[in-house]
Amino acid sequence: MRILLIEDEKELANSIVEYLVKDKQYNCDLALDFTTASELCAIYEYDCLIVDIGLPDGSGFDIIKNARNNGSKAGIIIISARDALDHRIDGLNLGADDYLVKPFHFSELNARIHSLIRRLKSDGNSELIFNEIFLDSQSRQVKVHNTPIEFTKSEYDLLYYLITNRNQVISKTSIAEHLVGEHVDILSSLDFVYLHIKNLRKKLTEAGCNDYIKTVYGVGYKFLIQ
Amino acid sequence: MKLLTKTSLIILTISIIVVYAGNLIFFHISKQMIEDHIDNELTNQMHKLPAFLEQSDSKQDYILLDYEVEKEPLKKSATIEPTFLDTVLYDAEKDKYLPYRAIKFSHSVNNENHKITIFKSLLSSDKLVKRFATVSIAAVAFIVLLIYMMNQYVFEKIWSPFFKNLRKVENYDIKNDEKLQLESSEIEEFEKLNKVHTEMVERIQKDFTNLKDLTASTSHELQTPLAVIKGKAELLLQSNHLSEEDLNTANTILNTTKRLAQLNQSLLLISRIENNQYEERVEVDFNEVLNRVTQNYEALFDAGQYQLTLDINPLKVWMNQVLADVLISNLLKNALMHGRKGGEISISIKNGVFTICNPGEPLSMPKEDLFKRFAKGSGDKNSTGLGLEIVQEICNYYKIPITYDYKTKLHCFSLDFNSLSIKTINN
Repeated sequence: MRILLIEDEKELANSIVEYLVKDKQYNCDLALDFTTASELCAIYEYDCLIVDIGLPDGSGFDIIKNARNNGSKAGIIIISARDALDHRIDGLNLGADDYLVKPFHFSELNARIHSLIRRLKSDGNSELIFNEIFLDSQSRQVKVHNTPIEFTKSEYDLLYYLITNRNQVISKTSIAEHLVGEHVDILSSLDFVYLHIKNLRKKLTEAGCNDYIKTVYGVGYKFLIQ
Repeated sequence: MKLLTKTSLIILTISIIVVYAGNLIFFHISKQMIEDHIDNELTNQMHKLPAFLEQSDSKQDYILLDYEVEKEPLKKSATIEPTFLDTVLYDAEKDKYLPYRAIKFSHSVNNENHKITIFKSLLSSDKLVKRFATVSIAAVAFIVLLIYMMNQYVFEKIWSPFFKNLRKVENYDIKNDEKLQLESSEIEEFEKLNKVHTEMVERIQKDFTNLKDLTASTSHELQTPLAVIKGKAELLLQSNHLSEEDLNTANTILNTTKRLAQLNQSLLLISRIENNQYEERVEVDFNEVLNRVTQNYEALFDAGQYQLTLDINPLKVWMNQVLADVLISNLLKNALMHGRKGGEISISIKNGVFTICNPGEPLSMPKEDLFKRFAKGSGDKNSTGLGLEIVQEICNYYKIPITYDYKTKLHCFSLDFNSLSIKTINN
């Protein structure tokens, strides 16, 4: 899968690319300005565009507009420091699929890219299979060794988040934020993350699944799967 | 003390003193004048009397028109220089002593020497003086009243622009990006005051706008560097060579940066509300808002950490969609943050009043400080301290009355949406 990241802040852009290509799930191109981005868009067919709105030589909105006008079917995620709702709506109206406010967790971006690409795949293949785990993102169904497991919405979201960010350390905050939304900071404790992980782990192992969820002490978790 | 009261009091006091003194002087002068007049008349009579006495030989006292004359024999050699005196005479008819002015002198006729005293009753002149005084007091009192009323009128007329402007300045809110329009006046001092006021307000407004812009742009500019720090910390977490300790450090950096970014975003939100960037209003259904907001926190509720009870009557209000979400979300967050684990959070909407309650210990700070920026209770180190400030800001923006109450171990916030609600007709 090929992704184009359009972000003018070089340090941030490099970090994002580094994170995204780490698991070799994606090929990621980087454009630091509007001109490069437009050229790259014209040459390649991308599965996903990650667009920063404020670029030094143009607006990310124009990139989205052009891409859609040229019939691009790429998933488009806006990343912007602006949280203003009208911005969000403008972007979505122009054909963007998602909107992330800076600063975001890379794991969150990764999960969004993942589910977006899954969603947009025209072949209707919404199934993910990892060893004994079968996951259908359309029907939100999970099977282990072909036995369906009942998950709550939060547990399913958590599993999906862990799997899309497999083999990466995912901080508790990032999980909490993924589950509760960006204003997670106000919660006096992140115990609920632990509770959800515990339940998830229990349901998976009870169904005969390997315990892939590793605890990284003091930090978070890692879904270790080869 | 009001300006009008003060001036009126001063004018009245001065008038009373002046009138009192004036009347006193007037009384004395008129009394003096009348006395002089009587003395003249008495002298006149004294000169006329010898001729009269020579015609008559009666030894009796004489009555000369309204004068009374007393004649007493005197030794031949004695002479009395004409002298005026004040005296009283007994009046049998009225049975009391009455005041008289008299002149006494010696007169010899037919070799008989007499002491003659001519009396003139002061009764009528006294009355006259008294009447004068009364009339003058009445006249002056009338004038004082007139002055007072004139003062009142002039005061209203001249000072009215001043008072109108005072009210305008009083009601002026620097946050409402409006210019201060003061009424002009013919009076130079007032004009000057207006000018000074207008200039001052313009200066303050400019500073205020600058400061607002600064806050907004600083907050905005901060987001990107924060995103860089956060990104780097997140990459560090993925490093395979780090010790547990180092991973923890990276994680702390990550979380702290996140908090900083959150704080920053809250400040941005506040400055946007203050800058009227959420003017657009739509019909907001609170049922939908609550569904959206509570869904966000579903992970908390289904981890069994909190219970939520809803008692909702339909409520539709005319306000900004984002602000409605932010408002309810912040109130719920506040309840979640301060609510006890496993505690029940209850939300109700009744008669247009939204109430959210959570159980908890009494406030560790004064009730008045609750909505203050960065006001934090003792236990919540993670809080930005801006949540309720945002709530307050939105309530102020829409003039929604908000009350806080602590009763039966429940913290309750009530918001009265009646001024904004759209009344639906129930068929």
